[in-house]
Amino acid sequence: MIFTQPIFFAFLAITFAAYWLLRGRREAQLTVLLIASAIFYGWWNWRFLGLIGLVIVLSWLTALQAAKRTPSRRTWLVAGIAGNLAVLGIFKYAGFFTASFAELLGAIGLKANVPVLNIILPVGISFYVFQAISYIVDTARDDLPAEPRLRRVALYIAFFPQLVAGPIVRAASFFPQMEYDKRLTGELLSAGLRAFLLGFAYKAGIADNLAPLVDPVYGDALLAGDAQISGWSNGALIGATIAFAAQIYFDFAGYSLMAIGVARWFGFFIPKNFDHPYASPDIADFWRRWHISLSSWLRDYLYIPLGGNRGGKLKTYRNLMATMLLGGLWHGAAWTFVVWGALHGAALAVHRALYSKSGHRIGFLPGLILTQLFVLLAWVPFRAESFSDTLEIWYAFTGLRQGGEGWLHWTVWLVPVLIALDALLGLPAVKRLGRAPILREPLVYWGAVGALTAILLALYPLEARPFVYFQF
Amino acid sequence: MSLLLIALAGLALAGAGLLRLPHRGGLMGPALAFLAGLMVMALLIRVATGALGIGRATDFDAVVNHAVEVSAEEAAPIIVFSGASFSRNAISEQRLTGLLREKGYPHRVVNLSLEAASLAERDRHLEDFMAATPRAPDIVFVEIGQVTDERPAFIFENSKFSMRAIDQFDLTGTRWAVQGMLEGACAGTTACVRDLVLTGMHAGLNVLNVGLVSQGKTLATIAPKESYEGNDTPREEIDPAWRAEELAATVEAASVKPWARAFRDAQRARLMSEGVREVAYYFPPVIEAGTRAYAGGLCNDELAAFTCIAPLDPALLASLDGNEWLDRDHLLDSGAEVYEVWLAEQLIASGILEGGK
Repeated sequence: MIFTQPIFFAFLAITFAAYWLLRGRREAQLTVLLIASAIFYGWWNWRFLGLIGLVIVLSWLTALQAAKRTPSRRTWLVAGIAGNLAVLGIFKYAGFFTASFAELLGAIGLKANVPVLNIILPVGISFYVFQAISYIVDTARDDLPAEPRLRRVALYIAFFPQLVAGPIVRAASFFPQMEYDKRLTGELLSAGLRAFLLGFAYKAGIADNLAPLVDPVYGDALLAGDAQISGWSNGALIGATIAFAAQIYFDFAGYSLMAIGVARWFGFFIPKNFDHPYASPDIADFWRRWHISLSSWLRDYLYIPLGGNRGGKLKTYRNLMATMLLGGLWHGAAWTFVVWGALHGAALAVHRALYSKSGHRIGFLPGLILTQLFVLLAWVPFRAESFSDTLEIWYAFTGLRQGGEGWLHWTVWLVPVLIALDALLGLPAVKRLGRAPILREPLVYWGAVGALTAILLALYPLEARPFVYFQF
Repeated sequence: MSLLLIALAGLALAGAGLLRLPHRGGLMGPALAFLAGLMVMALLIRVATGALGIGRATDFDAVVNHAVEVSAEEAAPIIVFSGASFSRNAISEQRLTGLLREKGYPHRVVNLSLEAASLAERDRHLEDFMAATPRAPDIVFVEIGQVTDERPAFIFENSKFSMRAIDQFDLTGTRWAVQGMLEGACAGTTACVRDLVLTGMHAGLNVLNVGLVSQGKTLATIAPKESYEGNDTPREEIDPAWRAEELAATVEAASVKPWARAFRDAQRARLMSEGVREVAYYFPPVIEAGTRAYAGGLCNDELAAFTCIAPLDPALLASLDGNEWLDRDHLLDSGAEVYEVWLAEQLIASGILEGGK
């Protein structure tokens, strides 16, 4: 079930009606959300309900023990984290590591019969395992009391709007929201609608329509393995890379906004996950705006525990590199993702070294151009199917590559206009425009929503595409 | 990706990005404003796509483009055969043209048929052809199938919520479909209700342009494709005894639905006003006697005043009593060859070609 599919709207309508018919009966409302979340997740593959159930029970039990002031609390903390990482390791990385091990043995001339595991990746596992870990760690740190009611922990980990592709919500932000009665108001509906419409525009209006520019060049991500990079001209390779940069942003930011909107309709607040990252003038700023919930998770649960910037320059660079390498691997079980993480880790380290040395930035526009060019080039290994494809596409960017006949439709060169428009919408002056009294007049506002709906329907692709981040 | 798509995506982005929360208002005013905004924008999008020639691209557009191309290239009088899968598998335009020319008739045959095409869908694409062709065809032969007369929403047999299904339920297509269904042109009450609901949903999606800009294409740029492909291998095992019995049988024809008659009358009047010299009717051979009898009944009654060629000739049917069948309703390439020879003779014998010489 995907947020843009008609079946989701039916599911949402039923859940919404059941939830608000029970207003004033908080426990019953939470039960409705929990049942709906189980149906939502089970829709893909009901067998994986057992897996998420295991993560929930494991996290609930270990957090309860880790929160007690006993000598064994650290053991429980480690057990909780290790258990969750084991689930992630088996289902996401076992096949990758066994295949890599077999390749390594082959490379040094040893022939070993290493069984290569082909385990189906459960949807959203990377997201809900990270949420579960944050809950265990926060309770062990005494940032949050351990929750004795299993149902509350279950809803926190499995809350359907953000279950399969985030944002990764912190326990400290979510648990208090389960403790007060909510009221269905016009403001709540409008706020949810606004986020959902913007997300729908991002996802169905833009991202899905960019896929036909990206997939023929890079290979269909859903069908895997049919890329023929060498047949494309340099212009097509560059154009498709730009289109992918836009596609992944509008796809993922769109999903996050829809998740925020849907959660809002049930009275829950989920913080934003993107803040116009392609307007960032430096790489550190980019990571403050891109996938905010993951970058802050990595900062709080990996970078800072590793020592952060407290151990001198070299250790800071090491910590940045380690964090981004693991962040890359989190995205997918492939070395190309590790390379993507390494590139960003190196860029963050270089930025830190230059910034701490010179004490000032190089200026907004040069910084913006350099940063976004780097981000664009780094998307190549993220999307390409192999290192050889990555190198060929990078070579195409130099203009020195020969050969390749295939061209994309010329409108691919207008994609940056959409990216620039989105960046403009992040400017405070433009944001103020939206608060103009005339735009908030009910007749004008709802007339505009009607017109927007008509545009989105015309842009709606009949065959809904899964979100890019589902595969992570 | 069209320029219109980029423009609308930008507009959607700006609109959704700028909107904040509205002031409090009543229910009726905002609801009407929403509807007005929705319909006005839908209309504007329809006008823009129409002006740019963007439509929901289906296989039918490729067939239409082929017909237009042929019509532009050849100076000979054009004979269009418009039908569903019965005709798609039965008429090779190259072979039938060759047969006619061997007999001294210069006509060029064009097959404008596609599987599961309802009367309204065929007519829509016939109109697309008429609008794009540099000259009106000399003769239009319209297939008279029982299944399409008895189920105006015949497309649902083949697909639902596809570009093709949504595309055919424009205002005209919906009007004919609803008229037919209200006359009971569907198999039972449950099927009628289901078809009506589906028609309503598809009409709504059509009016609201769902997917039109996302998946729509400039129709003129779609690669032309000939309708007839020809099959060599049967897809259904047919009992020879049953086949022989059905091909030899003569049964009483089922009654004709009034909506289908009204549809044909309106279509004929329009085609004639657009410059077509003759509108005629036909039906390719099928094994089941009842289906053939329906076409025969139409030729003898409703369409008695027009050239109408039903496959009732025992000699034709006897020559098809072998491995000429793809399935019980469609011919293999070998069967199509047999039918085309017979059809060419019928065309000549009817005298309909004379006026176009």
